[in-house]
Amino acid sequence: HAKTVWTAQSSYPTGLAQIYEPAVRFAERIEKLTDGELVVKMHPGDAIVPSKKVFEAVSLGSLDMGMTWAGWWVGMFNASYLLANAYPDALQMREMLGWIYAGGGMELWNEVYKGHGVKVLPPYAVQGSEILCWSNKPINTLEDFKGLKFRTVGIWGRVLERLGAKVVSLAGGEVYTAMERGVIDALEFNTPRTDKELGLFEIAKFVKLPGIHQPAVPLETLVNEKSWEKLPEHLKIKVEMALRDTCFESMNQILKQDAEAMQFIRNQKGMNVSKLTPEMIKEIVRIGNEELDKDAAKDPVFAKVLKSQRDFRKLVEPYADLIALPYTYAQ
Amino acid sequence: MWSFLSNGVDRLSEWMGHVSAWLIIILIGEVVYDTLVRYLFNAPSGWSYDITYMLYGAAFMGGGAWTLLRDEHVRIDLIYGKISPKSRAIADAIGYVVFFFPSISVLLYFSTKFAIQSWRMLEGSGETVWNPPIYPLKTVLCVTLLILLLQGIVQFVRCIITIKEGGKYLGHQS
Amino acid sequence: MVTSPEFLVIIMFAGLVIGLSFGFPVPFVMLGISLIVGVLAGEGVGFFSMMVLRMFETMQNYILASIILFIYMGIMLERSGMGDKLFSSCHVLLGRLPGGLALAVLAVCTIMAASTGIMGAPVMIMGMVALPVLLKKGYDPRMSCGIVCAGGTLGILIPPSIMLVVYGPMAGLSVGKLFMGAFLPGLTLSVLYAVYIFVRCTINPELGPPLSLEERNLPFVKKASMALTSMGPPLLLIFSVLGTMFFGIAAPTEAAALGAFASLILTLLYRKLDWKAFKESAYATLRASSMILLIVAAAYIFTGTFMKVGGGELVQNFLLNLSVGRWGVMAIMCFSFFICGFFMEWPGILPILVPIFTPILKKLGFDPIWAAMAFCVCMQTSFLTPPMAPALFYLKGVAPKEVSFVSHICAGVVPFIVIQIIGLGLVLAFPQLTLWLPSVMIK
Ligand code: NA
Ligand code: NA
Repeated sequence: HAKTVWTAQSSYPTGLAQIYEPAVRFAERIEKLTDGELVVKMHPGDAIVPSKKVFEAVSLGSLDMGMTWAGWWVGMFNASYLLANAYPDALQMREMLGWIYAGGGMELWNEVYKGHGVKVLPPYAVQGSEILCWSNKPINTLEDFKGLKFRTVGIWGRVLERLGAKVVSLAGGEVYTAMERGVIDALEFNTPRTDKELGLFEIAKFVKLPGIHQPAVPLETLVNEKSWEKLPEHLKIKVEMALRDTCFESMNQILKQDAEAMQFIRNQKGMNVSKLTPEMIKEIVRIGNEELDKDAAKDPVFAKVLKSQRDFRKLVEPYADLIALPYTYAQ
Repeated sequence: MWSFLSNGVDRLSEWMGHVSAWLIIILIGEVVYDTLVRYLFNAPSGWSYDITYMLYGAAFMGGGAWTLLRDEHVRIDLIYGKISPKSRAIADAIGYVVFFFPSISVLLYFSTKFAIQSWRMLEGSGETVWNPPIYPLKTVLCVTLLILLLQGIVQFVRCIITIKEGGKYLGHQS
Repeated sequence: MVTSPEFLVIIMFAGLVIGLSFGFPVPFVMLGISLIVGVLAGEGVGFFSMMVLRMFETMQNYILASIILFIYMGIMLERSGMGDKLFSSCHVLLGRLPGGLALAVLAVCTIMAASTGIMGAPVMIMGMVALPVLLKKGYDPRMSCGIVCAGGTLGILIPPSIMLVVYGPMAGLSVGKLFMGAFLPGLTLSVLYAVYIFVRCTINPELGPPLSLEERNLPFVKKASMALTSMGPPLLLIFSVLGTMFFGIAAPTEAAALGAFASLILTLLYRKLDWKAFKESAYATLRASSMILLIVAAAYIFTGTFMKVGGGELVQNFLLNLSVGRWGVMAIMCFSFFICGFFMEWPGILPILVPIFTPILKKLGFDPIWAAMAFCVCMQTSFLTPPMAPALFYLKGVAPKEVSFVSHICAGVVPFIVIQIIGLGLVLAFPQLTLWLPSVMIK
């Protein structure tokens, strides 16, 4: 049988296990599943194309496959931050997967990128809630956001600005130094495990949860349309199988990984970990929804995706709430 | 005719260089302003980050053709420094054909495609909350590459003239 | 058509050596070779798009803006005469010390290393400001070029360092620990350079001639006042960069802009800046910046080409198939960084080697921070080793015309590369050099 070799790249560096390793496992697994008929050569971020140019690279054929996150493409598609699940009170992990697999999410995802030569496959991993923020000033009420120099991007930045925070944009390479020296007061990046690996606990004293701005992180799988079409049917199915497999595996590992990382973070001397109050969450959600509605009014594709996500939640959330048990071991 | 054309290209490169040089002054002022206003009045601008890389990126690309005209791109003088002016002109002519024209043309062609696509989508930078249009900067890339290519053609013809007519080849007119 | 990765990689580096040695401008040789290799590999639109994506990414790279800002600072230092005065008075003060001026230049390099995270800027500034003074005072051109190149590249080791910021997430290490860990090894290299200069100039004073008798006999008061007046303004400049960063007023690139602005103001105060000079200095900054940054963009495309045609995999397969003992593995790892440094800069080397070495380190029980420092010292040499030797290119770009690339610059860095290998040995032999500071500084 003819051998197909795909060039693939992640948007992430090798050390960020939660977002990079599932991509590598996918590559290993697909080769074995297909008995070497399809070989995917997985590269870390920036190896072949710049990390934030993976979409264009897949679209133009520099890469056959990209393992990335939809939020990078907001410059091209406003709806991509809905796909990235990066907005206040977005979907939680189970609901996100439900929407993708059973709520029409996968189809809409492909529709958003239509005409760009890109085929979207199911996410290669899904992470849980991010940390809302690391800061060096306490945030106990919404008032505390006023004047807080916060490094973030996207619609969350707009919501923070409405709360009175000052959104600062910095190069990724300068964030650590800037936070350490007090140029900024607060920042957010990813989940407890990743943030721990980046050493954010060394430069911040306060941790705020839950990550209402990113309650779950679906990691995007992109394939060049021509490369996809060339693949025989039995390989296509195996690619999708392997993706579901790595995604399932990562979902089941991250709960433990993040819990352990959180325990480590809590145990740091002088570290304060706390949650937003329900009132704070309610107000943030209200502002977030206003911002979402503004974008929906401007962009029909955005409106369509937003409606689909909201409709799905209206269906499943009352039921999920009905059956949820309180956690016995939580304080 | 030739001198009219070549002078025109020279002046275009130089003009673009001058414009780009002013971008540097604006760059300094803009970053200093943003930093001080943030520190003193806790009022960071939302635009400084995007404006900074746009000014920087436009500036260094904008200076490429002028730097070529003045022959200030680094050359390694291992052999080049020891050969006659005519041989230098030959070496340069070969360099233009083998290295310069193919790569700059490819970059120009594909960056133009990028720019057109970007205009079509009215693409934003996606880097910040501000999310300003990115197509101007993509356009800058192809325009500066075009002028670099034109300047390269002029320099190449100058090499050929030197090879044919002899004379002192400086590699540049400054 | 032969398209094995081995063949393509050989074409890449042979082409680079041949192209560069015939004197065609550096960035265009790199771009041309990249394209030729891509076409030989049978690549098409996807490859060409990769080239443009990398070019555009360089234009969007916020941190590189500081190169322009530092060059502006350097040009202002030169125009105002501040730099010349600073080094001349250092010379007078340290005149009796063998190689005193060279030591002063090295000290300034080390300070600059602590104020920028990238390499290009210090090499350019010192090439423009310090090298002419060194040559004027009769210092050996080879040694002078060597100090500027080696001292100028300390910036990527001594924090803040962009290389370490990229290294951290790649190996799953805290950037803070890497910064702390890099501090002493960076200083150690600086000290080793100083010892070398001192010893060589003591043995052979010709290399760094002492002060003229008349200068040496200046009264102390005169010397002191000269030093004070000449050192004040540069100190102010250093504060505007380092101080604003330290006190949390500015992030590193912003600090560079504050420095550029301060240098402009100081030059105005020296009355060395009329309208014409103001314009000319902007023009000169622009051309020097284009010269450097086009090399940066071209080298970035060159690295992408190497990865796209399978070069990274080639290196990885080779390394994974070696079987030697624990310390043999360590030696091979360091050696790989060193060898890769001949052909690539660190942004290309890291994604090839760090992913394969990190698990090996874990398996063999080596401390990852300590190993990272050893690797980083090796990667610092990547700027100095031809054919891909950016620090040498930049210096060539700004050095006086009589400085030859091969016989002055290349020959000049050789001893410093040897010193770096000694430095590497120290880092390997004394893990505490790396690990002590992180252990006391980080909670
Ligand atoms: Na540094
Ligand atoms: Na090198």
